[in-house]
Amino acid sequence: MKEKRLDRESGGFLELESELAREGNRFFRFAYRLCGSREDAEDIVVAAFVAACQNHHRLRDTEASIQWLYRIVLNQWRMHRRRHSLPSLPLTEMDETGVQFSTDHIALAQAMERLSPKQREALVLVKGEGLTLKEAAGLLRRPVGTVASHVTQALGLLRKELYPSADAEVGREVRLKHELP
Amino acid sequence: MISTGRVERQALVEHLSTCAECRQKVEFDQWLGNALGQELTLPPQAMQRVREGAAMPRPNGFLSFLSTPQGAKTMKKTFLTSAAAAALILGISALLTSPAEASSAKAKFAAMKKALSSRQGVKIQLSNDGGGATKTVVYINGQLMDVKDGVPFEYQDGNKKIVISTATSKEALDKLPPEQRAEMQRLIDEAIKQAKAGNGTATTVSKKVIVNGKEVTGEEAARILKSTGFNMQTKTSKDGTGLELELNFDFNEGSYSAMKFGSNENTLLLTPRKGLNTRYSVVLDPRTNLPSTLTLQKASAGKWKDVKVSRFRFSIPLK
Repeated sequence: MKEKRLDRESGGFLELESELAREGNRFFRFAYRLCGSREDAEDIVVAAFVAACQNHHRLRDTEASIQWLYRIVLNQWRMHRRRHSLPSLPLTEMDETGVQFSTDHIALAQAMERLSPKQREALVLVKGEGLTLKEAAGLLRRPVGTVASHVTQALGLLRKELYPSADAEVGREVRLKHELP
Repeated sequence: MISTGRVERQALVEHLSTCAECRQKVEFDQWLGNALGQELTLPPQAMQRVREGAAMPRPNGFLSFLSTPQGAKTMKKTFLTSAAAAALILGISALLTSPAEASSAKAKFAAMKKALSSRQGVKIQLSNDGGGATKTVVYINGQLMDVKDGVPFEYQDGNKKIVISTATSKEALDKLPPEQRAEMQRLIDEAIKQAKAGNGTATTVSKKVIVNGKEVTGEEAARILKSTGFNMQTKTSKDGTGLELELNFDFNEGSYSAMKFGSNENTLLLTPRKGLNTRYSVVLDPRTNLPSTLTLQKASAGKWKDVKVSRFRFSIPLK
């Protein structure tokens, strides 16, 4: 009965709900990459989806629903970050659902925590979610150049963090190459 | 970033074959894209939570009204008066805690206890504090158990006895001082003995765990435990040193000298009789009255500062 009421009042509610169910994994992954915790990611996605359901009448262009949802998830993560300013629980080898993470992924999650929120947001949208710089800039409401700069900085920091010896090795290889006749 | 033009692409490939630095950057870029884009599955209960949340009345109905022209006009007229009144009320509330508020805060505290007691036997996980350690609290038979690290404990879940050991991995065990290692080994042996004797389910927090007398991986254990309807949640620390089990909250009403609401009626501020310049801020789920966040605060330079935050998650759906 409740569902009928919602549907009658607001047209595409059920359509939105089925879209949320279909795209749940995508936004869970997005939230997880931002916050680094499954529990927090679930809370963020639930809060975002509830907000989406309650405000779906504001969505004028249904084609843009994915971008709209990205923005809501992003806002929820920002609010979540403000509310929980203490460091979050680090990713562990086995999380509560029994998913095994490789050492690389643990190191990546830890390195991601060291990025600034702006760098993390830009990196996850562009490298993780496959958005173009223009799309990411639109979502983040920042200039394209700024987003590109954040992505580059984040990549550099992660590379330095995850492969600290790599630059030294490359340098050595380059030096050797130049020493050859 | 990588051009798709044929000539440019060929030039790029040629360059990569000779330039280690660029090659490494491209490889890293690809690896990162794959790692960040790895599929994750939204827990099934999440959509149920969304449905429940969406079915609740919209909290921002008033804001929607304000966004209409009529609402904006009304807002202009009433804003200053309302803001002044609200500031006055808030100021008075902050200065004085009325007996009526204290009694309703006590009622809220009682409601929280009642909500918790209806969830007996439910494992509550997890907390999150400044130190980043993993902690677990367990609520059993109306009492939250104060479980010390390294001590195996057991309890009845229906007709099933659950034994949980805080055993650790062999590598981490070897690093312990001899007497601590011997004690830990004794605890592990006890947990394994219990499990092998068919007394129930035992799990360790190390990579290898004992479930129903069989040594399995943590992943298999989680699956087995899940299939029994007992939503076991375990976490390991990266170095395998085990799970820290800790409880630092007292649900006895008499332990608090003052009890009042915080920023809203879903936040309780509890001043313990013991502990100088300390208080707890407990945020309750308005729907269930179950605690969702517990924050230890300390007074510093006339302000309350968050020292430690514990967040609760109830792993079994509401009855």
